[in-house]
Amino acid sequence: MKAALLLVLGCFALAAARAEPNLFPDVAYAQPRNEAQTLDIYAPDTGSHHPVVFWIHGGGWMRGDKADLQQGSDDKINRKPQAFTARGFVLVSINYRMIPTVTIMQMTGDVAKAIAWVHAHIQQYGGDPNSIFVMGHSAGAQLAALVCTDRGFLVAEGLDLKDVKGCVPVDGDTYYPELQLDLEPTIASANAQLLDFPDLIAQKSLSSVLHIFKGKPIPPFLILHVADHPETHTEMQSLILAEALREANIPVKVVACPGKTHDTLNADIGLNGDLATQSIFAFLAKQLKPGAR
Amino acid sequence: MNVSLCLRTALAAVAFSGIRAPASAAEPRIQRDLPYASPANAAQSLDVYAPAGGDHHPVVVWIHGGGWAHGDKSDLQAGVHDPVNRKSAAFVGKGFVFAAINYRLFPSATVRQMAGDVARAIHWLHDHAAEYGGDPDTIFVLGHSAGSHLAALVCTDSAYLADEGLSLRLIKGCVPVDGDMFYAPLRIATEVNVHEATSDRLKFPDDASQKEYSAVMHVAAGKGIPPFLLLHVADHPETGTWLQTHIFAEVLRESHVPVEVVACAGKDHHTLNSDLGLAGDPPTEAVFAFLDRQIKTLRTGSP
Repeated sequence: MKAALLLVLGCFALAAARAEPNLFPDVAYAQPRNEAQTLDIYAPDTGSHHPVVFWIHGGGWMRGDKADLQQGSDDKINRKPQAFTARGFVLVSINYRMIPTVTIMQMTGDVAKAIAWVHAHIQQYGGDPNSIFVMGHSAGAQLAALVCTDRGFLVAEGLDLKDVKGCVPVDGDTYYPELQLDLEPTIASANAQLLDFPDLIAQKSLSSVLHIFKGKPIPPFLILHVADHPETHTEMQSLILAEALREANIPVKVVACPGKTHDTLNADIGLNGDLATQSIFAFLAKQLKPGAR
Repeated sequence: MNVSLCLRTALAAVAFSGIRAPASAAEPRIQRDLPYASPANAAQSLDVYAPAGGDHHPVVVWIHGGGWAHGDKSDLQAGVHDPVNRKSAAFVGKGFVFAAINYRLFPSATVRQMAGDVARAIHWLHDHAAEYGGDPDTIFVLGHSAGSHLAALVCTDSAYLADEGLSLRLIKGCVPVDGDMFYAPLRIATEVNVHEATSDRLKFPDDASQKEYSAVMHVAAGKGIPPFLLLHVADHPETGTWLQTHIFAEVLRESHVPVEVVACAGKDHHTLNSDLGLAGDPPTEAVFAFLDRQIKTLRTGSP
C-alpha cells in the first residue's frame, strides 16, 4: 500500500517535472508592434480549453515587466508559470505602457486591449476564451480592479464585464485613491502619487470603488492583502473595495495573508502550501465549477 | 467672597441637604435649558444631570444624533419601551456629571457652526462644571450618529476648541457611537440610497467641506488628540458605520492615538444608542470601562 502510494507520488512528481510550460514570448497585442504592448503566454504542453489567468505586473505604474514572475523569491524558479500551467491554466503575463508615457486611463485601456487580444486568440494556445481571470499585484491590482468594474474599457474593445470570470487584485492600495492620497504622510509621497492621480476627476474615475453598482455584470472578486502591514493601507483599501462589492451583491472574498510583505505576498504566489496561492486556486476552482455564474 | 464662590457654597448646601434625605439621595440634580451662548436660545442650550453630592465628578458631554437636522438633548431614551431616562441616570449613578447639549441644526446652521456650538458648550461646561460638582478638567465627549461625527470632529480638528481658547488636551476621551461620516468623501461617493445621498450632500456640499468635516483628515500625532473608544453595530455593514469606524481607527492608530473599537452584536443603529445606560448591556459596560481607565490613568499618571 505504502509502496503503491510512493509509486503514485513518484509518477506525479515525474509528470510535474516533465510539464515544462510552453512559452510564447513577446506577442504583440496592439499595432504598430511595440515592446510596451506585448504579452507572454505560458501554456500547458497538451490539451485545449484551459482556463486563462491574465496577469498584470506591479511597479507603481512606472516600472516592472511581464517577465517579473519570480521577483523577491529566494530561488530562481519562475513560480507563477509553473504553478498555473501545472494546474491546467494558461498564464498570460502582459506589458503595458507606463508613466510618464501614458496616463493610468490609457494603461487601463492597454489592459483591456490585451484582454480582447486574449479573448480573440487564446484558443490557438490551448486556452478557453470564455474562462478569463484577471489578476494583478500592487499597481497591477488597481488596474485589474478598474478594468473589471468600469465597463467602459472592455466595451471600447468590443467586450464587456461578463467576459471576465473573476478578478484577483493582490495587495493594491488604490481602489479608492482619494483616501490613500489624503493619508499620505509626507508632501513628497503625496506629490509622487499626484503624478499618477493628478486631480480629483482622475482620482474618482480611476477608483474601482466608485464604478460598482447593483446589477452591473461585475465578476466575482478575491482580494488578497498583507495582514501585518496596516501602514501600507492595502488592508483598508481592500476592505473598502470588498464592502462596495458586497453592497452591490457581487460575490467577494477577502484573504488577509500573514507573514508576508507587499513584495513577498506577490513573489510567493505559486509556492506549495502558501495561503495566497491556495486561496487563488480555491477561488478559480469555485468559479470554474459547472453551474457557477 | 466673589459671586461664583458664593454660588458654589449655596450649591454645596443644596447638595448636602440632598445627601441628608435618603429617599432622594440617588436622585440626580437636574438643571434644564441652561444657555451656553448669548443671546439665550433653545438651540444653544444644555441640560445638566449631576450626582446629588460630592465634587470633582468627571463630566460627560452627550451630543444627540438625528442627521444634523433633527433630535434634541432630551432624546435620552429614544426607541425603548420604558420611559426611564437611561443615559443620564446611568451616568449620574456611576458618579458622572452628564450634560446633554442642543446645537443649531440644518438648515439653520452649517456643520462647521454645529461643531462650533459643541465647542462652545464644552467651553461653558469647563467654566461652570464645578457649580454642579463636576471637574472642569476631566471632560469626555460622547455622541451618537451625527452626534458621533461632531464629537470626533471637535476632538480631532483643534480649530473649534481653539476658537474658545481651549485645547484638545482638555478632552480626556471621546466616544463616537455608530458614526458613518468620519471620512465624508467616501461615505457620500458610495451612498446608494438616493434620498440619503441627497440629504447628506446638503450638509456636506462639496469636496472641500467633505474633507474639512472629516475627522480622519485632522488626525495627526502630537496634537493632543484624546483616546478614543469607537462603537459600531456588528450586524449591519450596509450602514457603512463599521467601514467608517475601521478607517478612522486605523488612522488614529497610525498617529499613535490610543483607540479601541467595539463591534456591538445584536444592535441596530437606534438600539445601540437607546440601550446605552442599560445594566448588563455590553456596549454600556465598554463605555464605563473606557471612562474608568482614562480616569485612573489621569489620577495615577500611568495607563
